[in-house]
Amino acid sequence: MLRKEHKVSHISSEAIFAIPAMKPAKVLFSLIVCFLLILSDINYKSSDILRGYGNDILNPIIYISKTPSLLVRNLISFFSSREDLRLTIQTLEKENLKIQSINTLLEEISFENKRLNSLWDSVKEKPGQYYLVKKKYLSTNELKPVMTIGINRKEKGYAVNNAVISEKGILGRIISLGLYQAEVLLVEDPRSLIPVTSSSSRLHAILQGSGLGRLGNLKNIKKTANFEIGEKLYSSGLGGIFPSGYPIAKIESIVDSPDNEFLNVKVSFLQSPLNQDHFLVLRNFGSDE
Amino acid sequence: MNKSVKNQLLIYLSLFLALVVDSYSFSNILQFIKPSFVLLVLIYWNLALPDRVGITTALLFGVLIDLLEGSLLGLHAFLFVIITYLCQRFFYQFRVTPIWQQSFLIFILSILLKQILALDFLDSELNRTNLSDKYYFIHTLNYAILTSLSWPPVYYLCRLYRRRWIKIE
Repeated sequence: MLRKEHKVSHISSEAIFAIPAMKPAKVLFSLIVCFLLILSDINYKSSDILRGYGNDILNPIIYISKTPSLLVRNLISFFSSREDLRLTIQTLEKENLKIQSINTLLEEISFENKRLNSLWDSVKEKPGQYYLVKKKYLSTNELKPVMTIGINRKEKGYAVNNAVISEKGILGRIISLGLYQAEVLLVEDPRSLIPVTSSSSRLHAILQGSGLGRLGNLKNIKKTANFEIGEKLYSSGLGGIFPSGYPIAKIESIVDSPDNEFLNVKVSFLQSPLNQDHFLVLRNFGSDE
Repeated sequence: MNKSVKNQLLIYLSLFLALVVDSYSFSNILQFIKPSFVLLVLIYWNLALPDRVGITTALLFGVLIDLLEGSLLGLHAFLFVIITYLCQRFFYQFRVTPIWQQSFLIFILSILLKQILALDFLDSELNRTNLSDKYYFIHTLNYAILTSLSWPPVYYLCRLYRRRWIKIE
């Protein structure tokens, strides 16, 4: 037996079969390493560079985890009748048409908002600027939701800050890019701040998330602002990250509390990444400006 | 292959399998309350073979979970190192307690873990340091219940795996 595997009694010189305790210096060193990682991430966003490539490494793991459900699905389709398959094809065709119509709808909304805001000349989007991407993983922490999507870097135009859009509006933006994966900061995330404009009162504001499934809020709204409950909020395009005219949220409540110098405006988000798998990435929006 | 290296690889394989299970994504509320199998398997190895699993393993798998979850880099690693240390420091006491008591301890540990993950390190909300609300607390409780309920099957499965494959002289 190796010497390190047991202690020897100083009195009887017999082996004491005990597991050697963990060295405190090693624990301390590990904790310091963790602290340095956390501090560098907080101060310098160091992980944004690593994350995309880290997710590429984890990509096979995500594929393996999906293998059983894929196998079951394939087995079911293998044993399903010809009629079932015909129905599935019909459903998929309908889905395809729906996606196409949604794309058209998004363009129409964008066009309408641009016309109202006289931004027609500054933004020139084309239908070919959208890429269809698939959701890979959604973090388990609902308060800081981060979604991983599968991308193909061979297709040019993916970049950090590309807007990710669902059929109901803006979902978030890319914060980290790998070769085959990208991380998306969702609009529901408390770190996300989006300049928005309201649909009927035409007021500008900053929208902040509060976590998935939670109401977001409009920051620093003066008490004289006349927002209305139920009106929709669209991206204003200010800041140059998100394109203008995409719906994001709807005003749910406006509370004027005497102990607060601002209005407390709560909004519900129009989209959720939970029950959707496919999204659109609007590529190179910034470079067109 | 050297037996010690083989054992180490088998332990890493079990942790890797737990990571595969953890990386399965649900499309409903289950996504936020699903138990963390990497944590449970790590705790098991710390109790069963504390001399074979250590800080390095905890650090490595913590960073992998951080990358998978998109959380602050080093946060899960930090928590895993602390849990590994506690498990190894008190493993004599923990190992002899009945399985339901172990489950209860894991329940408490899971609540603490989930609440630490809710801390607002990036200062995104000005007037509070913890982003947790009542819904998050309900999810935390559900997560803790599911994790503690998963402990007995994970424990017996890992024990079966250890007895079948890992031979220690």
